[in-house]
Amino acid sequence: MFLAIDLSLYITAIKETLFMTFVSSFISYVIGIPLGVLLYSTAKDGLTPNSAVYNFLSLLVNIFRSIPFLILLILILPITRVLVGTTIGAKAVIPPLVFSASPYIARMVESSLKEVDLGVIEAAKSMGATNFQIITKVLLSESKPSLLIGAAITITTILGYSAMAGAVGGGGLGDVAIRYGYYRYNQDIMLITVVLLVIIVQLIQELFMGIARKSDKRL
Amino acid sequence: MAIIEIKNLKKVFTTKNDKLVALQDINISIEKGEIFGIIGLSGAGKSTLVRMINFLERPTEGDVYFENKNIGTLNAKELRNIRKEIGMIFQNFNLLEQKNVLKNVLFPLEISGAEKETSIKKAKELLELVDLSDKEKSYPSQLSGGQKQRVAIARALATNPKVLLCDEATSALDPKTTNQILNLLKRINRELGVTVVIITHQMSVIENICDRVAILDQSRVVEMGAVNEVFKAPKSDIGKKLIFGATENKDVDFEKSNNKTCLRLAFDGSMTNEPIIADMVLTTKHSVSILYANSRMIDGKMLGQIIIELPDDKEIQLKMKQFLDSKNIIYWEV
Ligand SMILES: Nc1ncnc2c1ncn2[C@@H]1O[C@H](COP(=O)(O)OP(=O)(O)O)[C@@H](O)[C@H]1O
Ligand SMILES: [Mg+2]
Repeated sequence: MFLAIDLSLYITAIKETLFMTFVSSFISYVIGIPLGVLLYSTAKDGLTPNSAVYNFLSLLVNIFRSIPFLILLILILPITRVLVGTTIGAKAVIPPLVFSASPYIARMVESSLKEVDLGVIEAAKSMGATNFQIITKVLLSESKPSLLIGAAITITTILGYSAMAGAVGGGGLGDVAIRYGYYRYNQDIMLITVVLLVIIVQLIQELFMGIARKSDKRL
Repeated sequence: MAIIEIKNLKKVFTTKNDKLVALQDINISIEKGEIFGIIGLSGAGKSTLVRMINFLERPTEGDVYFENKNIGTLNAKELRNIRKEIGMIFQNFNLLEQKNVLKNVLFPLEISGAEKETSIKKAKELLELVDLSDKEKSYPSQLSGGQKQRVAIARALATNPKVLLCDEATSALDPKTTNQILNLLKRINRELGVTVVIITHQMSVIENICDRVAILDQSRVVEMGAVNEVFKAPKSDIGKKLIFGATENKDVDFEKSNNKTCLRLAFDGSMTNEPIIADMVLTTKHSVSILYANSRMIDGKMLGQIIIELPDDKEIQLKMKQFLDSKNIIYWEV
């Protein structure tokens, strides 16, 4: 068997995959959360309804969400080069991942915030809370379990996309699967990388769902 | 001295193709230290009215004064500061579900930037006041409705408000718990001197703890005055309906046998605590059956209605009616 041909090959690939996934997820959340909050706040029943801002953001988010990832990957190559100085390797996959994940996260965050009871927001207002306090101390904190469930879905999706980036030499498990498994017809390597991907997805999923369950005080 | 003054208030809700006048010609003056009730049927505009007191809802026209300050002229920061002086509790409690009891009570102090040590001390005192010291670490989902409302009350009092607005605060609670909450509100009013404004559709709530009442019907105040005055002699139709029972115009749940004569006696408060039925039975020397009774004593006056079934004998019936006439009891055959 070829399992041991190059153990370090898999280890490096796993590291790269995790690196791409978590760095992109982190940056995407840094962009996605404020964007989601802005969508929520400017929506019709939001804290500061503003249909012009809402419609603009909403359109922007939808445009980025509807561009297929592989197309986006190629489309923003010039931007990627400027941002990370290269267009190959794990680092180069981060900008396209962020571009496609941030709008997705923004929608997830918007919908999580919408789950917060309007009565609770009204109560906070009646206590003299500012909108900023309502966002940070009521909305984000009350929707934490929902946000964590969203994170489980988002991060595993980003992981899936990162594997796709292997197609353009992006590194990681997807890259191994394509280079060794697909181009060289090595079924074993293909299978192992797929199994590894499944395991990682499963672990991330379980981890975040577990935290979400544990943090939810409504039960 | 009036702590809250509502002047010529009007609220119009504009929806896509409709304009709804939720409130109009509202003039109410709430005195410092009183418990003021606002009653009306569902949709009368009660919540809208109470939400305009702290400007959660902006009036379309008219003014609201809090301690002689016109709330409508305040900037955002001043408005937030006024809101800290006006606590509010709700039908659905509106607690922060992801925070424990103590953190819920701390919340208004935290957003006011109060110092942590003193805040915790204050929150614990308030939990003591509402008798929930042992639930500090519990989460709202682990509490009963009555306990949740007590947490909400403690939270609303954290900033030492001068007024407490209660929007249907007992409507989601059973009668026993309702009484506990009402007693607590009464205590807060008496002991802390907090002016309490109570919104409800339940007459018993007004009767229980309010000093004065405004009856709201179809966007207007149709009647206002001291509770015992209004209860003795309600002038508006809706007032009569609310006070003499919602059953007034509906079929009361009583079994009327065919061809029996039944009388409905209405007690409008002009009678004092006289045993009317017993006296009538003694005077006429004939008994009657009580089919339905919904009456109450207010301020030593009897209010409500009783339905009795008379004996078949026409002569006795006449005697009984004469007796009722002599006592100025309003009655009619049903
Ligand atoms: N935000 C709103 N937009 C449109 N109509 C509203 C709004 N809030 C309340 N209303 C309407 O105003 C009327 C009074 O409502 P409300 O004050 O909630 O009554 P109550 O509390 O007495 O049941 C109702 O007809 C209700 O449908
Ligand atoms: Mg209401």
